[in-house]
Amino acid sequence: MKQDILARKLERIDDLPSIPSMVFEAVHLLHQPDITVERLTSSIQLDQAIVSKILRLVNSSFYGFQGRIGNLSQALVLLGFNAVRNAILSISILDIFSDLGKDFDSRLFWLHAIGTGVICQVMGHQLKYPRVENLFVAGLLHDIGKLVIIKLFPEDFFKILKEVREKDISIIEAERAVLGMDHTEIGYRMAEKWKLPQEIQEALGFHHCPWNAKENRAMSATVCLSNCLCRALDIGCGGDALVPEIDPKVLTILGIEPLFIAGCLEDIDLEMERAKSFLTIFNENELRSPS
Amino acid sequence: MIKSKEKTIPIEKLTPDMTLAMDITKPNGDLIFGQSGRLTKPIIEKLKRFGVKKITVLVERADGHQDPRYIKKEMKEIEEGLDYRFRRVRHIPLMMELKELIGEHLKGKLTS
Repeated sequence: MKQDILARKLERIDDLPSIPSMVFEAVHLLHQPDITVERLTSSIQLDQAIVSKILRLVNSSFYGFQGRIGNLSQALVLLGFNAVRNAILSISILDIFSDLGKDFDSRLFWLHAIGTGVICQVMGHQLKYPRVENLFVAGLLHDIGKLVIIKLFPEDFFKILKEVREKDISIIEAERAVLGMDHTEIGYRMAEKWKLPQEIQEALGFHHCPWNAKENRAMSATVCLSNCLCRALDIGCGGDALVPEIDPKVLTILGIEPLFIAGCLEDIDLEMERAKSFLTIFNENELRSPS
Repeated sequence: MIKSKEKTIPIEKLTPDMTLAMDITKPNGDLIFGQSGRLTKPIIEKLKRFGVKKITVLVERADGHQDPRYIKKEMKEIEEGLDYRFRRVRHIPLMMELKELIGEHLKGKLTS
């Protein structure tokens, strides 16, 4: 019976908007080995809202071009296809969750999301991982399941926050108590629906237990550690004011000692200042603190 | 090959604010400290405990942040904030080690 209730709740995820078909086409084209800038540009520019947000983002200090990119073709050439793919995916997914009610502090949520993405990217560079751009997207979207809960189950979401406050427990514990499932299961389901790369799906689904990932355990472990560091550094808010326990298996998967983290902190500070401009992809009325 | 702006020195001659020129690893390849990390006194002591004898550093010092306004009160607020956020994991040595590293970094920003 309980399983039926959970299954029906998860099916409601299908009610959420899909990512626009242009995005899938662009993402598909970006993977083709012989794709041209002209072909990509003509596909993406069918959606002028996305084009304008891409240009706003790429001209922000996040990418460091500072107003020098005037059109989409330039953005594709200067940033590279992976970075543009991730920008398109991030913008279109963020668009789906642009209005979550006046009682939700979206600014603090997105600061935490961006912070986790930045920390993932910094660690990925230090560890010399390939596909560091995917690490940023995984970090940015790791808590997307929480936004699904707010959108689809708003009354349950406020019960969850009440549990966190009154019992001093983590948000994931409160989600399991109120909903019978948590944001990682929901996030994984969303990432499947959006056909994100398998390693990103896993990072959303296993960032609290990365040893369970199959495709790319290191990516899930990086998101796990980055989420913890983001909370320890008090960047934004993930729903509670607690630093989660890091299992020593996470450091074993990454092949690092704890002292390695100290070497990342200065870069995190520098990158975080630039990354706050990522918030420019939102309009002012999309980002609010509770009144 | 060591580039012209780098220098290899005994760990006893290391001073805070020097920057590594390459990663420090254990014999099995596990990363102890990353190349772009900034060295501080507590970190140098910890590196000695790993048995590191020599380190290659960049000769030029990184610019530090100057902010004379920060005082002891700010340090106390940092400590209290960390105590609060780490309150449910204070019995776990790995988490306390992480808390100490974060605390040193945040307090270091006040005094640099």
